[in-house]
Amino acid sequence: MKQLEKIVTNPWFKWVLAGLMLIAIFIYLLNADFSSAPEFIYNQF
Amino acid sequence: MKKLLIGILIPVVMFGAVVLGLNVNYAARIRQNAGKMLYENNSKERNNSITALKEIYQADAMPVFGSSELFSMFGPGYPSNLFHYGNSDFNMILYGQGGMQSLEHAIALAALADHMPDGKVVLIVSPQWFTVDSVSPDAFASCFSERMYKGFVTNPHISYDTKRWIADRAEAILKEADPAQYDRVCLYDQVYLEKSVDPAKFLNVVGWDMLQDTQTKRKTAIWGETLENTATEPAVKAAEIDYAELLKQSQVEGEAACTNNRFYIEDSYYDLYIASKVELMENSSEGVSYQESPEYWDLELFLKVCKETGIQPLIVNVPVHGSWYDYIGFDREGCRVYYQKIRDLCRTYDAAILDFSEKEYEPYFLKDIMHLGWKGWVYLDEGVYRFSQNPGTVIEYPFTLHATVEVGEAETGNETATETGAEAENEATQEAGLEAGTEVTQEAGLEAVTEVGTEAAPGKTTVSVHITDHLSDVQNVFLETGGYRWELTEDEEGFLCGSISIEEDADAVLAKLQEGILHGDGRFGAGVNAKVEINVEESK
Repeated sequence: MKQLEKIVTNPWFKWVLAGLMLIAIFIYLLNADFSSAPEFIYNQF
Repeated sequence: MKKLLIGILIPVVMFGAVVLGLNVNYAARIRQNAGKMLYENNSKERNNSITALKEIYQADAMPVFGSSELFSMFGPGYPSNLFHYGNSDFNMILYGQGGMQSLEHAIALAALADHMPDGKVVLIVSPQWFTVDSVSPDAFASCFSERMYKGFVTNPHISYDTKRWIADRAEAILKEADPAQYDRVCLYDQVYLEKSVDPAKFLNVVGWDMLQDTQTKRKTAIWGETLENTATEPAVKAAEIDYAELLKQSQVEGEAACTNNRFYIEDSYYDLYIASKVELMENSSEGVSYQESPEYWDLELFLKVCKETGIQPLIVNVPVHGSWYDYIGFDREGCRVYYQKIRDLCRTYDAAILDFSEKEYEPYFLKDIMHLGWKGWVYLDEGVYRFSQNPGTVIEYPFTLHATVEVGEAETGNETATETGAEAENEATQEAGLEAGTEVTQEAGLEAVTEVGTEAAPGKTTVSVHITDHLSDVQNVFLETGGYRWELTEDEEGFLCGSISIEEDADAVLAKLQEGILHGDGRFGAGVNAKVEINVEESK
């Protein structure tokens, strides 16, 4: 518990946390679908 | 202050390291599976990924751009069938889909040109693109690849004018069909083309680009791992492919597949699209033509990109379906104008052309009313392979010829008289039936008449060659056939001709003369390689 408290109160901790959040958001966005193209069915005739 | 800067640097470095690591990982996985992607031409995961195509182009492969015909997987000539899904020393990498036309091909080529080691590309041009409206906005938006657009707009070898021209066309079409994509394209144009210094726009583009690039690589890497190796045995040696035999097989398969109509259209296509309304369609296209279309501008853009990136293009001029177009009353004179416009564009941009316009009425060339079919693919395969084997040359004269052999009486024993005698009327004309595969000669027809006359001394033969079609702007021309070589010069009327004496019997010479290759120096230092079918006239 003391060890955890030591990490959390470390002055650099918030920056590392910010980095981890950035990475998490990026990985989340990697799975998102941004396509906006209209559906187009090619007419063979 | 120093602590704050270090603090900000920590998440940036962490984030950068993860993004870099992911990209390296995805690229390695794509590289590992690139061989399995060769003939996955209907997958957006492959076609949107510059990384994947870059890996695929490393192999001995010819990029072939096209549209819906790439999905006409009919017959032994379809590239994946012919090259055993990649188990070959030569492959065609098909790129395109239904609705994809010249403008998108120009964008893709601009993005991929630097990754094409052979510096060559093939574009299969469909007449149906050249309508008054040209490409449909929905089709354009649906096929649009933002990764390719980014590659295009950042290619340093393309001039500002060409980029602006393409960008204007793309913006105009997307504005209507896909506003969100339009906004992103405008942002790319402002940052990379107009060099906007607005930091907000720059960060927006860089951030979005990084996300989309990683996303595309990830999709491609995951998809690539699901593929199975479809290559089949035995290994194909492209130089040993027998195209004449393939044409025979194609004929047989075509006959079996087209049984319920008089247009040589594949049965299921005819049943699905035509049978119920065939009577209504008679003369239904009167007044419709391909003479005027914005697509000509787009094709010119493709050729401009080729020129500026140093890529040598081969344009495949696919014909309309002759008997069907007659039936629906389509403007046939307009078709001839269309063919000529394509030839003129190729000439202007020094592009090679594989001109199939004479094949409008050849059964089984197309599989339906517009897509390449059994024979069409075989002709195309042969032409593309020849194109790939001629480094630094421009093939300008494609067309089909037929050979005849004429056997006549010998008139004299000396060379000069033999030539004269050979020009006299000959008897006993035999059709040799040497139909060529894909011919590479002049649109109007390049035909060589070889006259063989025995001289007085037995076992000695004089062979004179006379090219019966005009070839303009070609110098240092020679013809090779049967292991013989003729230096050709222009006669008084401007036709190419030449004569050699051979220490062999006329029969032995005749047996070797089938078709030849004409070589010469064309315009702007470009080489000319034309396939010539030979009509042999023998004088004894």
